[in-house]
Amino acid sequence: MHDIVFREFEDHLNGNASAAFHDHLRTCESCRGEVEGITGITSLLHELAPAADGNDAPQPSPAFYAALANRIVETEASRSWGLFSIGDLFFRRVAFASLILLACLGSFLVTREASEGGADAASIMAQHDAISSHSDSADRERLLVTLAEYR
Amino acid sequence: MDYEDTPEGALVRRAQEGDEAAFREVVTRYQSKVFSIIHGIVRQRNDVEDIAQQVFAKVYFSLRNFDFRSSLITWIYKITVNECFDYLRKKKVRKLVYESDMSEDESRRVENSEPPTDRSVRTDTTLARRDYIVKLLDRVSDEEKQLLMLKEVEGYSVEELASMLKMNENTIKVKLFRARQKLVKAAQRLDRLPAAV
Repeated sequence: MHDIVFREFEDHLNGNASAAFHDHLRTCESCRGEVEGITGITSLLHELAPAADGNDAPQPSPAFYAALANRIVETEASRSWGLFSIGDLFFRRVAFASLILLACLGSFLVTREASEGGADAASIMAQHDAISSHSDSADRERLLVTLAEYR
Repeated sequence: MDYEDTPEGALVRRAQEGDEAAFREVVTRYQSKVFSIIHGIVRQRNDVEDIAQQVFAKVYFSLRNFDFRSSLITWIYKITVNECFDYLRKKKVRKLVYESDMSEDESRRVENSEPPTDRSVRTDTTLARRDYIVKLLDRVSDEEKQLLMLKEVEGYSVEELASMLKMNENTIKVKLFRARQKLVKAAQRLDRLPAAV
């Protein structure tokens, strides 16, 4: 976009743009397109203007200030109680702390089991064999005693 | 004369110090203006008073932060416009939730309802245009929104805006131009979306 358009666009909207501005638009297609686009969008903004006669907009009721004062008092009360109340933020914090605690506990249990030894397969099998052979001989002796007592 | 030294500046100062009568005077002075701005943007008569209450409650709680860099009405205007856009955003979310709650039969009944009359078509077109510009304004910054609204909706001149916002006239022109360009870009992006308007 050329400088003259940039400089004089607000004047153009008020109908006060210079002849040079209009001459430029006649010759520069790109600026003409941009000015048309911006002017179109600008005219849409006028849709938000209140009605010219002012009768369209509702007027504040006589009780408006009383209702406002009520709202302010309620908001102030909720703000002061807010210091002690349990809100969403509190629950989010509790949930987050619980997750961290669970993660710490989990990792502690895993590392403790690993550090106590006997975790590898060979040592577990060896322990199992020792226990089972010991219990076989004990069973045999117990059976002999039982047979002797039976006679 | 500085704004702070004007009678209105003194009124604001008293309200800032907790003078209830001064705050009441501020409300009385600007309530009609605030109602008119809100109605211009949201066009829902039933909700205007509620939004206005919210605006003045915000004014009450933030008045201590008012630094006299602009006039009080400019500051209230900004709060009002922001509150209106918040309201429209919340309303849009509520509408989407409501529509998603509709059963298939209800949706079909709405689709097959009586064709609109000429008058309602005209109203619908106006509402669609207003909806469209509100969507576009929602895509620019608060400052740009305020400038565009003050210039195009409230009809202030560049000189008046410069004096109200304590800025150079050229700065106002540049900011306005950039804001308008952003609106055009937002419109181009919005038009590319399916069923945007």
